[in-house]
Amino acid sequence: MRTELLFCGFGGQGIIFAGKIMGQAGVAAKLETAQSASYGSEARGSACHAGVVVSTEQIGYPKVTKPDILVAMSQEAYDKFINTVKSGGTVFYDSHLVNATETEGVVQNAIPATSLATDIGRRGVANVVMLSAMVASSGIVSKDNLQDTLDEQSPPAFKEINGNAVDAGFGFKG
Amino acid sequence: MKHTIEKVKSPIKPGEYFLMGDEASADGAIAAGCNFFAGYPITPASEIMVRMVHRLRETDGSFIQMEDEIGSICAMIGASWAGSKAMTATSGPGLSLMMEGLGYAAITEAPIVIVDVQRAGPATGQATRPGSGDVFQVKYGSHGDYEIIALSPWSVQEVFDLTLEAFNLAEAYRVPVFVLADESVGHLRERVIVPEEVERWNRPFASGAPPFDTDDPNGIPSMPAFGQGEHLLVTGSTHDGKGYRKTQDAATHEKLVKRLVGKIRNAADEISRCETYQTDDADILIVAYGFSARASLDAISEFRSKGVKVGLFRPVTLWPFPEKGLLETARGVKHIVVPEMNYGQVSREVERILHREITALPQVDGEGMRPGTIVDGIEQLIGRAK
Repeated sequence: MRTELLFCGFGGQGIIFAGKIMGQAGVAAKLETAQSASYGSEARGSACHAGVVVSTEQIGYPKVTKPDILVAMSQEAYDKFINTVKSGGTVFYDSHLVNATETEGVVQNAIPATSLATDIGRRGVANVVMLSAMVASSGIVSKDNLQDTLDEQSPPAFKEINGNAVDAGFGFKG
Repeated sequence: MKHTIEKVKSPIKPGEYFLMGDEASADGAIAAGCNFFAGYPITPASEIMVRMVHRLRETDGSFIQMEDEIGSICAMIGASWAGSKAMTATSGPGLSLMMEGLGYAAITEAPIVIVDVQRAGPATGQATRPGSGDVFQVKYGSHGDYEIIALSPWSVQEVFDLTLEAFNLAEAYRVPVFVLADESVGHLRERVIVPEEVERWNRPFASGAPPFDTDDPNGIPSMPAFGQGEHLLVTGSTHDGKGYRKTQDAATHEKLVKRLVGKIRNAADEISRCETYQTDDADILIVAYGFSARASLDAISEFRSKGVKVGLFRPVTLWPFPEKGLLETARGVKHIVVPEMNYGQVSREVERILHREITALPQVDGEGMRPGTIVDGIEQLIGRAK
């Protein structure tokens, strides 16, 4: 079973970080994982995306072609990728940053990630809120896998705020 | 002469990691015993250099950022002759600058490892985009006759494994060895397993033996290091077994060139490696390496699900090319397709080896090879054959 995830937004939001954490959490969950990213010469502020493939079997082509899950954190990125989502796929978008458009065959979830992150005291962890809400809904990895991976990959000073962001994402019911 | 083999505990903590290809290359080098890195930063290979700064500090090795790439390769050759296991990492534009030094490493038989994370060229091309345009350059880029070894990883695990192997081959054959990766694999993150124990090969050495000639039919002479007390002269000009310049002597030149080339050509079956996937009943054979081979796997499943028998032949060593493996695998196959991220390099080698018509499927848009490129190419081929 192969699942393709695409995280998109603009440089500086922690999009590639979210993809990396998802991939690493997949490894912790004993899944085959591959993570790739768009690399531009101008990262901050311009469009960027990270693809993650998770599978119970060996991964052939390691890049995302038609995402099963799209996590969008900017209007530009949402508009660019919404039509690439597989029929029957799921979209998670930051409702503070994206106005969604009706798309047939795709379930869309509005996550007020920026607002939730602002409420817990750091707007910059909106990426972790988005990631957590997606993980909570899709169940690709467990909350523990995600939390442990975040703790392992972030400076100790971020442990508490990341923990709060994970709780906010998991606690949110749309 | 024959190299020596030792087994050591991995200096990289054994276990499971989620690494970028570039990071895995640095870790593979450290596992191999690399203790010298000279380089100049370049996308998409810079992450190797960054990781080596830290790794060499942990392992008491030496790291030097040179003024450019020719400086880097020359520093490596010096380090190699001082007894180090030396490495650099670069990409197309840097590789072009290294070509003079490559010839010097070849004629002085200095074991060095060059990781080339290929990007779309020519010239500065597209720095952040993949390509496979350097396949011929690593083989023929410097002037004169010589041989090198080039390995082509298709996964992050293989970047680790083949970087380690590159050091071993460089030591055993006293030859420059390339890890010919590309941006798609270099910037890909995947699971990597670091083993408890690694095998290291070390250059042959016998006190008093000439450093540039041998009676051993394998053609590999003893390699002393400066400071070891041996009589040692190293020159890029034609030299005899003891290293004395012989720039007017036909017999010395012929003997040297024949040995430089022969030590690899004669060992081609021993060095070259390939893998096959679903080739037993294949009517259509894809010959692909590196990232293009990964894309081929998806194309194969798509065709197999429709009953079209497609298989994959994957050279792991590009130089020397696994000719015997290809000849055996291609026997009885109706069509051969060669997808690659250049305008036809390995496809020509395949044509040369098989003496038959093949279909090249070049993708030169600076994107990683897509399964769709291969699927479309094979569908056109089937359509034409009907």
